[in-house]
Amino acid sequence: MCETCGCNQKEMVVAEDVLGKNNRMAAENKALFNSKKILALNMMGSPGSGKTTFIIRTIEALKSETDIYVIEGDQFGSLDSDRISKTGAHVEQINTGNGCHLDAMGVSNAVKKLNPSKNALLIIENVGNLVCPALFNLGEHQRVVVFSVTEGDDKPIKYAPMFHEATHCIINKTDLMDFVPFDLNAAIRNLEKINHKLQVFSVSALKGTNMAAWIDSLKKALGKL
Amino acid sequence: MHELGIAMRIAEITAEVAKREGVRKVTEVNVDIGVLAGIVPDLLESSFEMATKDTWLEKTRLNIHLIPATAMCLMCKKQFAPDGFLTVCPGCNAFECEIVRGKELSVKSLLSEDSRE
Repeated sequence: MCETCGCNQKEMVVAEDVLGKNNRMAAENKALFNSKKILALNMMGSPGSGKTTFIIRTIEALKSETDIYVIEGDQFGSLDSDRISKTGAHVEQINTGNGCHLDAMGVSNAVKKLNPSKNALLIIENVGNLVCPALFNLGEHQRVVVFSVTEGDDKPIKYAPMFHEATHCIINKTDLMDFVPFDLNAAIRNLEKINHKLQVFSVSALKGTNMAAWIDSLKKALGKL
Repeated sequence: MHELGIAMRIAEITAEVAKREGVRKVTEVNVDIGVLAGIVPDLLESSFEMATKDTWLEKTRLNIHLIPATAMCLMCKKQFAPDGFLTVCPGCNAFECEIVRGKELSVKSLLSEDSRE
């Protein structure tokens, strides 16, 4: 019974993080990655920003040096995992159906199926979406957001949570910069305003240009594990 | 639209706590939501209704307590209310700022009616 007014209501303090369950699973994933010295990347970005093409370029540049595994998240189908399979990387497809993001449990199940070797690179391609995936930790070491010049230089401001939570940003499709109103300096300044720690790379994944700085940063990160 | 998943998790936490405490009726659930948590309060409310429809939590009210954002400048240590995620220090114009409050997303407490009386 309530001591204040004598009603039969009772207040129970809970203080539980709503994302706690996902975060605990993510911590388990990360512990597994660390124990096997696996570098895990969570690749996010709008549909059509060029994530898959960028991943394929990354695989091509690194596959002679390390084993590469990919978890491919899409609402439906296996178009992207079919493309990635052709590079020789091991791929596991997750279809989220109506789900708009990957979560740590789905990644854990996919990792069990892939059973990645030690010292490998694990690339998780999230569902194309510039909003929801930002909230869900998967246990990754790097959160990489890919955004393309055709989306406009104002995207970091408009979809701030995603850019705020990222560790790396890839400005993609720079080969189209002459054809669209995209100001690279303005984009970089907008990124700085949202996240001063973000590491930014400008590339054209399709043409394979300016990929070296990104590839070098991955080599360095793989060596550090 | 990830609010439905969040609402389902809130219902799950409520059920877990109610079971642990031996409570049969929960009248209210209080949640803390930071304004930068990436949650639309109206959508969370309607999602909670959807998630609890035809369950024992159908009549449970979800109270959302919004928590304003605070940022801190890492250069001059000034605390200020950021413009969303735009964290530029109004004191020294530095970009090196961090959000210190406003990303909360937690179930704070439950209110129950003791039906054993």
